[in-house]
Formats: sequence, structure tokens, C-alpha cells
Amino acid sequence: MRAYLESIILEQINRAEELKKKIHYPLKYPELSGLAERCTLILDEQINILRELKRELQSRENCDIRDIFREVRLCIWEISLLEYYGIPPLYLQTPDIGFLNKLMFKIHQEIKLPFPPPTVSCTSGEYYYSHPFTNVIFVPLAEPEFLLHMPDLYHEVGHHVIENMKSELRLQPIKQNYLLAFSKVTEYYSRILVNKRRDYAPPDILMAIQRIHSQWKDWIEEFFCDLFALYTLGPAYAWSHLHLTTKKSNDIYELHILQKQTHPSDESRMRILMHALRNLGFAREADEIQSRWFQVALFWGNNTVAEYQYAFPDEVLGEIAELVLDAMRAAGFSLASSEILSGNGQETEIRIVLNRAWQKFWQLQGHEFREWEKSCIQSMRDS
Amino acid sequence: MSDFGLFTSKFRQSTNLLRDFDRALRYLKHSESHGDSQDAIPVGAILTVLKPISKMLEGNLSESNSFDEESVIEILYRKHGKFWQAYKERVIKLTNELESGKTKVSEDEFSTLNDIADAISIECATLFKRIGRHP
Repeated sequence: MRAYLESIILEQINRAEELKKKIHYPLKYPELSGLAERCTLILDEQINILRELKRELQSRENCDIRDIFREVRLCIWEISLLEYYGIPPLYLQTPDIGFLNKLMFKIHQEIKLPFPPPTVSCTSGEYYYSHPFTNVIFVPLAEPEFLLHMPDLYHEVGHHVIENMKSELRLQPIKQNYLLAFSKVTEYYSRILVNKRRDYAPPDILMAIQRIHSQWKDWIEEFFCDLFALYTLGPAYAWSHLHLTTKKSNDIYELHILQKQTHPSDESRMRILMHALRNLGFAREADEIQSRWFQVALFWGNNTVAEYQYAFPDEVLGEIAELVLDAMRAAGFSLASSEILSGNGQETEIRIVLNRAWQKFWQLQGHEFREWEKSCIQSMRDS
Repeated sequence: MSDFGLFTSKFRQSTNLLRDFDRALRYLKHSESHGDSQDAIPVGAILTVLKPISKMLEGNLSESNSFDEESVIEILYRKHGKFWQAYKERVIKLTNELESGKTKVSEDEFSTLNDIADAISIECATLFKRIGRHP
């Protein structure tokens, strides 16, 4: 086993070396330099760890290599993830990738993100997603040609904020309130559990509450990212949530007790966004979006499972919306406001364009909107 | 973010945790075999893993969000089968002792910790598979 493990180590070192060669220098787009640097750094780090493990292996008996086996596998996984989700945009460097990264750089400046902007690559095999390890946001291939779902870029940036809050001092207020928000969730469910136990509730109910609390460990991150997007971008994010739900949701009241559910229900996400819009002073916009939402929601009816009443309590959602707003103010993010979105001469701000896109979408006929959208994207590319 | 993003994020958290945990175990083993004082054992890295597991084993809600302790417990449960109760008690006892300042770890306790590291590694592999299945 020892000799075999040694061969695997050598094989992986060679793979990491080959991957480094796939990064084409000089880079076509300066915005990709952060990713190139990051990938090189991680690959070098993995090579060093593997070399160290190879040395350590010499001093071990065959029966005493459990930890080395585990660590070699970690290196293999990390190198593979770079190969799948880090190197491709650097290898391709297409004009669309260049455009999206220019856009992300502007967003990063506008909202005052206190760490380098993530890279964006339009090579996603599905919808938007982030890769926190490589710091890349993946979007669908045709996304650079459309505006209505671009607000989801802000949601993805939220995931990078969470990733960075562990080490970035300027994000300490975010970290504190994020942890506090989850404590509020735990307090809420602990209280319910105590009450239910006192009332001799059936074990199924107790188990459901415990499972719901456990699901919140993922949900809290999604809620945070929704709030982050809404507070930095404004109503356009809530519109885009409505749009995505209308097109793709299978159940706006989705709730699984036994199986893992990584995302909160679309209904609860819209509810927290309504809290956030009102917190930010966009009450009129909140009413307008909510009215559309109620029309759309009719499609699914109101067939919630019984446990849904415990899953997304409005008082907790309201508290979280306030905690995130306070934290974002304290961390110095530039938040959306009516004043900012009205333009004030800064018509080129991406968030102004994205909010305007939603106004135009409701005002214009379909083909007129498309013409407006195309010309808008062209000027963004040219600027 | 899609499920993929969350799995990736969880994968990263779990791999970092495993790396720290394994480093702590290696340090422990090294100081044991060299007869060094174990005062500086990085107990923190071990307790970051043990505390949430013990909390759940005792039937409480765990606030930890650094790894999926439920899945790790399930993996351990499958491995220990009919000896589960004894194993569970060993984990809780070891956690309490390390929390109250214990610095020596016996060979059996070392094996208990190694089982937990294996379980986290399996959990990482599961998450990696989920990410890899992504189109």
C-alpha cells in the first residue's frame, strides 16, 4: 500500500504541473490575473504538501498510514476541483468572459466590496453558482446577452462575502451578526422544543423541529446572500427572484424533513426580501412586487405540509433582515437607495442599469424591451 | 447559488477541518512517540470536531456550522454497528475530558479519533462526488 500511495503522489504532482501550463500568459484580460495567481498558488501548495507527504511516508509502517492516505486524497480532490472549476476560464479567455469580469470589477467598486472581486465564467452547465475554493462565479453561456437575471451575480458575491468574513477584518460586523442570526434561530427552535416537550408532543414533531433547525445551517447562508443582493442592488433583486421562481420553481412551499434541503422555500425567500425592501425604504416597490408575487403564487396553490408552520417563522426572518442590514452598514458597504438608483449623473452604475432593466421590462412590449436590452448591453461592452 | 455551490462550500469547510484535525493527530502521535510534553497539543482543532458531535450524541441542538456532524455521526454509526452505544459513550467521555484540560491520549482514544477523521474523510468524498456529478 505504501508503494502504491507513493506512485499516486507522484502522479498527482505531475498533474498539478501540467495544469499550471494550461494558464495562458500573457492574460488577455487583466481582471483574470487574480484567478491565475490563485490557481498557481493553490497548485504550488498542493505540490508542496504532496512532496512533504512523500517524505513522511518513508518513515511510516504500512499499518500506520491512515492519516497520510486521507491527506493524499484531500490533495487529489483539490487539484481536481481546480482542473474543473478554476483553470477553464483561464484556458478559454473568451470575449464574453472578458466582458463579465469587467462588469464584476465595476460591481465590486460600486458596492465597496472589501476584497478582490470574484472571477466570472460563462461556462455553467446550469444556472448561477459559485465556487468558493477557486473564487469563480459560473453563469450560463448566454447570460452576457441578457440583463434580467444578472442580479443573481450579487447573490453569488454574497457567498464570497461569507467565505471572506472568516479572515477579512473589515467584514467582522458581518461575521458577528451572521453568527448572532443563527443563535436567534437556535434560540427560537430550542424554545419551541421545550414547549413541545412540556406538552408531550409526539416524537415525530420533535424530530421535525430538530431536522428543520439542522436545515437552517444551509438556509441561513442563502437568506444572507439574498439579503446581501437586495441591500446592495435594490428592488431588481426581488424582481429577479420572482422571475426565476416563475420560470423554474417546482414548489414555492418546498419543505423536506427527512432529506437534505439546501435552499429555503421560494416563498420564504420572497418574504424575507419584502422585509428587506421595507427596511431600505422601498415600500412602494415592495407592494408592487408582492402584488405580482401573489398572482404568480396562485399557480402553486397553498398546499403546504403541516411542518411548514415551523420552518420559516416570520419573526425570525424579520430579525435576520435587520441584523444583516445593520452589519452591512457597519462594514461600510454601499447600499442601494432611491437616491442612488435615480441616477444622479452616474447612469453607468451597473445597479442603476439592472434596476432600470426591470422598469423597462414592465413598461415596454417584449420586442421593444429586447431592443432596449441589446443596446444597453452593447454600451456596457463598449464602455 | 445552486446546490452545487453549497456542496462545494461544505466540501471546503470539511476538508479544511479534516486537515487541521489530522495535523493535530499527527502532532499528538509525534509527541507521544518522542515522549514530549503534550501541553501544546492543538486541542482546539480536535474539540472543534468533537464538541458538535458530542452535543448531538447527547440529544441537543448543535450551533456549529463547520461540518455536517449529522452525516459524520451516521457514518460512524454504520461503522460501529452493534458496538455503537459503547463508541458513543467513549466519544462523549473523551470530549468532556479534553474540554477539562486532559492532555494525554491513550492508544484506544487515538483510535477513536482516527475513526472520526476517517468518517470526515468519507463525508468529504461524498461531497466531492456530488460536486463531480455536476454537468
